[in-house]
Amino acid sequence: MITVEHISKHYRIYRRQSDRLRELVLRRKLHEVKIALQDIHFTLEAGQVLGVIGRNGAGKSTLLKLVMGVILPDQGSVMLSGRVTGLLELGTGFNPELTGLDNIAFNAALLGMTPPEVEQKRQAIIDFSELGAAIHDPVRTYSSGMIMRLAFSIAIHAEPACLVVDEALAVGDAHFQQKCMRRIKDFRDSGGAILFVSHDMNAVKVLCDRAIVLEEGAAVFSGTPDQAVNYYNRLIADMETQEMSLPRPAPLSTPLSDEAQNNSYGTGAVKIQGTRVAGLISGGAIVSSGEVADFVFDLVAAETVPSVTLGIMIRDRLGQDVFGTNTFHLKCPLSFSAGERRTISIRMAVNLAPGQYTLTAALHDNDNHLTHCYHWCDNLMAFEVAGYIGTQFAGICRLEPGVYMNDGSLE
Amino acid sequence: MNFALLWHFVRQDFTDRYSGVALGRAWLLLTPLVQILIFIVIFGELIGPRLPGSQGGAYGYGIYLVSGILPWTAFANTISRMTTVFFDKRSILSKVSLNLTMVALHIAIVEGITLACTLGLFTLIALVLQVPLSAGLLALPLLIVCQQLMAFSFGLIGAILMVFLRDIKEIVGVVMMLWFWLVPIVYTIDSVPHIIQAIQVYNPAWWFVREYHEIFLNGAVPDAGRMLILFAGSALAAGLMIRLLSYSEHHIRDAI
Repeated sequence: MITVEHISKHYRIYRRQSDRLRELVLRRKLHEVKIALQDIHFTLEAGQVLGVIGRNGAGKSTLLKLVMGVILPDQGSVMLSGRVTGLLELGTGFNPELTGLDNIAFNAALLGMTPPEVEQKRQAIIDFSELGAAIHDPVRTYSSGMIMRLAFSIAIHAEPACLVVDEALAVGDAHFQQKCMRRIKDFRDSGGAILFVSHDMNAVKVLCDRAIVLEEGAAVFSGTPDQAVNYYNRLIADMETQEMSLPRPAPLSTPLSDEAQNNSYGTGAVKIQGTRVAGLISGGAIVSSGEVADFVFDLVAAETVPSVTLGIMIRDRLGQDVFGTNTFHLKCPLSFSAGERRTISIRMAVNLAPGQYTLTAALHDNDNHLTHCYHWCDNLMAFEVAGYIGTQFAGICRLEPGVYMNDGSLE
Repeated sequence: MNFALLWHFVRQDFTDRYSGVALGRAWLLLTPLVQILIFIVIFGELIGPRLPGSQGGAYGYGIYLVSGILPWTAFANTISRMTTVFFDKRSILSKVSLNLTMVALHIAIVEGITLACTLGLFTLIALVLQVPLSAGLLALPLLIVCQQLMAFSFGLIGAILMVFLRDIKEIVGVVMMLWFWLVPIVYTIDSVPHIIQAIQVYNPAWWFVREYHEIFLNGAVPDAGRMLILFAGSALAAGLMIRLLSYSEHHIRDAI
């Protein structure tokens, strides 16, 4: 399907456009070389889904463009068999003045469909997009969701041998996103190959068979999606601690960011100095649903405090409180003497739905922060739940159900 | 080359220009109509030199002018639009893999179709004004193709150079302006100093403008030998430029 053989790509950065010409004439080097990709090599067969993850600027989009033929490699070659359709952007070539119906033909032709094919699939495309009568309105009256629906509908009907997807599925309402996901899965199941670039670690884990991690143009890891996500996570965590350049002997905990400092208040008798989330399997802040993780806090006391309670609250991306507890309710009384440093961790199975979460923590006495609040930090740290260990579920959390038959036996 | 897609680009160009416009594609003919009438009436009847003999009938100089200006306009437009075509289409080129030759070619075809329409209009007007025309009109389609192939070749030079020097867009504008005055369109070839006459043999634009004059002014059929050389020359030039384009493709795609 797609064979990428040792491709490399570098860009020449000129300070001025005219330097390109002057370089040729004067035969002097007037550019800086920026290496976008180094020696990338993989094959993608029918029915396989390969995920590509990496930080911004790692070369993911460049790789996709090279595979699609939008740019040409400096070394190596890309071999394609069968039609390769790219979803690098939805609605390429849409003319806002024309109706949705008129735009189908051009966009479909750009994606590689022949005129008879377009004719044959036109009705199916319209039906899938769920635009109804709006298909006869000019595209400039469409909302971004409607454009996305039409564009995706055209693309998915291109029936390529291989689909190349670059974050194009990030828009649209939940219903349509699910519809798209189902179609993509059907595509995969009927033998299509997919090259999938995303920052959505959950989608990568759920959809892909293999994944590679790109870092500064090189493929630094190749393996199962779970392994790749863990590797990626360690990569970015290392980068954050390096940026902090701490002299402290707490190598893995992230100290409070400036933002977290601003969001914190309290008497300061005992303070949270650093924190980290570490899944036992993943080792980092991107954990699978159901994975046991440690929520680790580095504490330091400025004075002697006899009664200290550490409380945490996990909030979802909407700020909704999902789960909270504290060491008082967990029957774990703490006390600190002046100058004492201690690391405490709360360990639990993160039976939460995939998504982005934040951690809020507080130090106070007894069972709540209303009497003496030593340190309260809102949104101390963010972590992500991606992928599932065990059964999938819907909603916010997994309640560990069991099914029982009428006669009382456990199914 | 994907001809269906090429045709889409051509059609898109016309619809883009006239979408949302009330009279729509009628403007394709209305504007040239007014232009032709102005030239013929003012320069044919009122001012302008008298052409020797009975060239062009009663409106001699007006016919002479229009038969040169219409092809030249298409030629110049093709070249200047092709110079910027890769940048104009960058929103599509950076997302979908397209054959660069095809993208450039659609401009030449669009302008060729426009030229065919305006020449058709001009022919009608000329017939109404009883300008003596002959079967030479049948050579027009081939002439348009030759002219546009030539324009395509020059346009590709501009398009490739554009990647290296953004000034090329302005330079092409100035060059076309100067070139216009080096071709006997406004003046007749026998009314200029000998040096200008002598260089015309090296002037590719004159090669096709001359044939338009033959058809409309002299009411004759263009010489077959000359037409053949014209066709061979422009096809060869186009082929060479397409080769050059494929060598420059790397630079162009990176710059877009």
